[in-house]
Amino acid sequence: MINTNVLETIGLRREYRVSRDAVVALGGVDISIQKGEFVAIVGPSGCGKSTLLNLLGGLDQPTKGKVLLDGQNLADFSEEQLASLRRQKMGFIFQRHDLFPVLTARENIEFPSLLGGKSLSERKIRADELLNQIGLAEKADHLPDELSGGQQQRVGIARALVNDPLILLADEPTGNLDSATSAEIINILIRLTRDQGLTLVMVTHDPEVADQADRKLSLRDGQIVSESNFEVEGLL
Amino acid sequence: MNFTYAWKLVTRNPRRTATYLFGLALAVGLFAGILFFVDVTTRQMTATALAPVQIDLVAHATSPDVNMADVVTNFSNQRGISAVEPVTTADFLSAVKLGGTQASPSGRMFAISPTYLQAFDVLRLSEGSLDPNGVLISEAMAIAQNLKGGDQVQFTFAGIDQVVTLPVSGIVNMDNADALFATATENENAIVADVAFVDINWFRANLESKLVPLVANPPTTLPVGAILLDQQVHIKIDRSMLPSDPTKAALQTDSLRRQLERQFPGQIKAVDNLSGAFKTAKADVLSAKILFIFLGLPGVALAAYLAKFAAELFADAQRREIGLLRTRGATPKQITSILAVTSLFLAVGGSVLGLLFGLLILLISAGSRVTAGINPFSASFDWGMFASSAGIALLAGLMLTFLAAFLPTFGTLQSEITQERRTVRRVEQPPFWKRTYLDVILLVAAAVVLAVTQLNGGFKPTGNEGAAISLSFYIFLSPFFAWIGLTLLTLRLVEGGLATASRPLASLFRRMFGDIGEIAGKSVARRTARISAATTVIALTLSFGISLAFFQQTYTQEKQLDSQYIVGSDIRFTPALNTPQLPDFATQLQVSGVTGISGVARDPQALVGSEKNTVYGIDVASFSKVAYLPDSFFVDGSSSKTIDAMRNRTTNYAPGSAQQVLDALANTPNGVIISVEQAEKYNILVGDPVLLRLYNRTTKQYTDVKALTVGLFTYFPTSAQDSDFILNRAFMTQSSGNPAMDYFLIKTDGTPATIASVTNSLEAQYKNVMPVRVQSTESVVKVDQSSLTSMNLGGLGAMERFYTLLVVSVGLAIFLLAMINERQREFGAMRALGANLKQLRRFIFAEALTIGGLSLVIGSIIGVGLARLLVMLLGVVFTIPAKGLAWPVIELLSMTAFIVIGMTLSTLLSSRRLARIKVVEALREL
Amino acid sequence: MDTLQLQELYKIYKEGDIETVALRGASLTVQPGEFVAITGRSGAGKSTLLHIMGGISIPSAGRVLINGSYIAKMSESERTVFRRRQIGVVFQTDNLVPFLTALENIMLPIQLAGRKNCAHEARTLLFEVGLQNRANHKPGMLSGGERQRVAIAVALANRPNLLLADELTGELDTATADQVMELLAGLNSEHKLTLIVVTHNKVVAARANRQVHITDGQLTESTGTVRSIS
Repeated sequence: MINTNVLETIGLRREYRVSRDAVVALGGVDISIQKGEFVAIVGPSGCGKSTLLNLLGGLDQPTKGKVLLDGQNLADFSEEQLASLRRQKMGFIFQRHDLFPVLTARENIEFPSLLGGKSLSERKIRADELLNQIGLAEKADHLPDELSGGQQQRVGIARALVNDPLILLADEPTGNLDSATSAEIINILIRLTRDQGLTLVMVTHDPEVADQADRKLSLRDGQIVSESNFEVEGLL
Repeated sequence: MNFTYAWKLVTRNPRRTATYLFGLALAVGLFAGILFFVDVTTRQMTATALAPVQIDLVAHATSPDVNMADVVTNFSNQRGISAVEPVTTADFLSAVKLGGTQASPSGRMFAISPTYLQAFDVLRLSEGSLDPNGVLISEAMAIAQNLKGGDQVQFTFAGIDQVVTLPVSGIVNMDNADALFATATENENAIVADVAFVDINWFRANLESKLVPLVANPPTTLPVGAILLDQQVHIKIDRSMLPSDPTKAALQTDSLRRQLERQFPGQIKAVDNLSGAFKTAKADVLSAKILFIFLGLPGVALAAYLAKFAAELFADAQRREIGLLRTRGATPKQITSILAVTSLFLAVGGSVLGLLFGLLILLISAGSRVTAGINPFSASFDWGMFASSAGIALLAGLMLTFLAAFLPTFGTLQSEITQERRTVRRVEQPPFWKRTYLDVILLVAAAVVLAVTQLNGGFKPTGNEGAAISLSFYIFLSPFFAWIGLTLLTLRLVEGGLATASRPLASLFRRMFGDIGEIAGKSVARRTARISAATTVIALTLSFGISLAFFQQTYTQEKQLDSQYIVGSDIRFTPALNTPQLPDFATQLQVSGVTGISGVARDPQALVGSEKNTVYGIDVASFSKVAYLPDSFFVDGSSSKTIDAMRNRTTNYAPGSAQQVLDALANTPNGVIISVEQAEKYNILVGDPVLLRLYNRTTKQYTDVKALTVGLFTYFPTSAQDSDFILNRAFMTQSSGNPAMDYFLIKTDGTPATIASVTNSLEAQYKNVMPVRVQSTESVVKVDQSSLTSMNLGGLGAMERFYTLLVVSVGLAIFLLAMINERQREFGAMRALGANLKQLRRFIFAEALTIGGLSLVIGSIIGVGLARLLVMLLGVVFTIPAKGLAWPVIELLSMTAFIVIGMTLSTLLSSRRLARIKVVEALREL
Repeated sequence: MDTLQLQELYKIYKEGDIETVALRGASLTVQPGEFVAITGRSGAGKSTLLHIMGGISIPSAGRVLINGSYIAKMSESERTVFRRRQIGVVFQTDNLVPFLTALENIMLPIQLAGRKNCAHEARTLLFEVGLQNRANHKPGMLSGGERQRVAIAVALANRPNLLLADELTGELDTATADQVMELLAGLNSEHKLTLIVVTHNKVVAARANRQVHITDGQLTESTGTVRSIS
């Protein structure tokens, strides 16, 4: 059987020691995500969604279990290799967009491609393309604090897409936005990913957003408690 | 309640407290160190000023009835007095060698006890000893009368028919004996050449009883101004019991004097010889204080800025805590009170630490000589002085904490609580100084002050030559304005410069550091406020270290040159008057270490016209190898520019060269070179003949000599005051008939060690052979120079350098660490987007490099500029004005090395911190 | 007398050039003893509302009456004094002074109010939230749930009649959240403590006897069924 899982976790567990407690942020999670899927991870605060996302993105190491990206175990990579991997294959969108305040919108978007050693003209072309797609071509040379929250988030999306990643990981991208802007952002995200067949994994606590996903994984207290639209897999 | 809360805040937040305490201790430490250093220097300068004074107090009996023995006993028992000696003086009308024909002019006889010679260091026996029944005569008298040991001398006293005959038991050198001639009335200061010393018991038995009755009715044969009989008590004060501060010491001495007079009211009048020295010391101490504080204060200001920065690091946490307090019901008053108590704790803790730190710094950097002065266990430790300096430093610490920690937090009390809990950064408008161009204004003001003073003749020493030279406060107004103006200007320029240099910087860094370099370049170019602040602080600290290093080097060099100018060369060897030496005596002085010798003839009684002038005779060939003769001393006498200047009495002479003037002298046997001042006075130009009358001591004859003016100079080595006419030696000795050399100038390799060893071997060689005086640049006591020139800048310099290094490297480290702290989210995001640790480290390094590099360049430029300004302003202190700066190569190299190392270490430390950022936590929602 | 009355509240923030309108004419009336849940998404203006209700922040326009008094007219000191006796606030995080123990944290508002017997009262409160064994622990040594319980004790230190809580259970797991809400519900029913809880958690909201929804700066009563997530 051809494995079309772009991202897979097996028995993924993450524990912390906080003062006297051993906190289990994530307790043995199994997920399979297919190429091109839009998966929403939902759950109340503290359920472990952010932890899961960070593990998926190789930004954190699990206490037990594995994360497989395109069949490769993230644990097999060195820190340097992981960085490369993230740059080439993953795009990140953060809740607080985290644009670099001293770089313009264009420069922010170009950042991952700059790290990847792309030439000036290549970067420019790609950045322009994305700026158009998100509808911010005329704000290309503005600094983040000259843009509204929604505009900043759009730049964040463009930045995540600049290297044509395999998979987009988004951590509460609409968390700080009002309802109208949220809807806009989600629309752009969905449009862009569907157009290019990107896989989108989004953590959200907004039920309306989650409803638009292909699949919803509900997390509670570090465990998946339900899934909709697909057979339940893995441990409950 | 406020007290306990504040206490818990301070004690339970060790990192926060320690950081601030460290910053405060640094600032207070440097300040305290400087204050202590000033104290120690004060002490040294007072001691230096007092050193030449041999006889501290002289008490004169107002009438012959006074019982001097009682006085001596009483005074000996007084606290604070270390030696008391009775001395009686009486002038004699003449003293004649028995069998000799010449009568001597009048002179003075001193009756002293045998212990006098040990108690007071005014007399030096060249020959023989004080015999109870004999007489010691001065060298001058011995030469004039051709007396030697065993010869009989006949003394004639006014009003006494009998002649007093005494055998010569020894010869005394009077070079150091000026103090014997200080009188009860300050106007008279006649130094007598023909002096005799007898045992006081002999005097009392044989002469005194005859003189006493004459006091009421002085004989007419007694010349005007001569002393018939003066009973004195010479007193030496226990110097170790004097306070270090000259003002206080003067007061204490004065009260001691009055106390002594009160013991025998109406019977004695005491004269204080120390007051003159105290006055000099007072002026010098004030100047030294101003100088040191000025030189040190910028370092303190910078350290204070660092303390403020340290306080700011925790401002966020503090604000959140205050916000919490307010939600829990603390009124503004309660919060203010808590803040005040917290600040007090921090201030006291930091200041005390700072005091200890200051002492430590002083000990380490100032060396053992200075350390001895601040040993609290020694009896002479001045607790009052120490306490007042410590008090000032503590107060400074309190004020700094108030300004750096209390006020800013107090300010934010005014804003809404929610804003604080959110740690929102508000947009600020350009600061006040920038909008009003304060930097430009200050620099212009500095230039104006400088121009005005230069136009008014520059900073002249107050008082004429020989009097105390003091620095007025206004001398520092210009550099002060310049410094602040430069600070602000640097800030402005760096900010502006960075902004415009965005693209070139980005591409430069890209080439150096790869892809991440481009981002770093842009980041540096746009984070202008932070980067320029850090750069400015570090650059200015550097500039002060550098300027002080330059200043110190130049100062030391000028000090050396001044000494060489006064001494003539490294060493001056003066044979006694009664044992004159010929030029070939030089061969006898060739001890190991000597590289050249030149004999110099001197005639202090020569006449030019009807005025006495001192004339020197030099052997140009050997003299030019031995003496310090820079071109700046000489003037082009033939140039019309010089002639005009001389006519118009301006000082705008055309510069000359030593070579040209001395060659002219060498080539003209009867040539003479003259100081421009004297040439102006006598209206002499180059080419004019000069009629001199040279005096021969032995024949007591004047010889007319016609000399030809061949050159002019502004300064000529060997004497600050009287070297105005210089002849060829051979011509001079031939014409006057006196072949003797006055002294010999000796050159060595110039190092203090060699000079000392040559001096010692010469002194040892001639110790029991003949009386000689050996002076060197190391040992000469410059009575006619301000003791400012002998200040020990080394200690201050070492302290400042230490601080420069500390502040620069610590400053950079703090800045980098703070930057990483603030930008954790950014760095986390960078990592998430695919930057690895190596790239992040390069990023940090690029920023550190920018700050470090800019600071080095800017700091150096400002440092040299300030040094130049300082040298120009303080040049008045030296006889020979400093021309340009002396390069302190070793100091500069070592400073640069340390700074580069410090910066590298700071960067390494910061990148370690970088590695420890947990991306996950950094990105989590606050 | 109403415990709380909000009349047409507006709150506008300016950050540099950007203006954010957090509240647009929000109105609300709360009776004594009510347990109100205010729900809504993040960024909808919940925190702003809470700060205004708590007398910590002043509205740009509109009126706020707490226990019948207009707080906007008071000086900072007056407001503080008023606040500390009448209102208790629990935030989502940062409720406790990090370098004080649990007991000291509870004592703090009592001491600030100038009342005596601080330690005794604090211990009583600690007992009421079931943490008498944690008296000497600093916040860093407490679990999330324990911290929130201490925070509740702190908020109640001066025995106010109104308790405001902002995302109280945000960082807690389900079991602990339940525990905390039990405690609050108990305080509400037994001591007639008026409770206004801001939350986006439906389960928490369900415990209230009244739900108010905030969307884009305005308040609307929620009378419909609670929507489930999965």
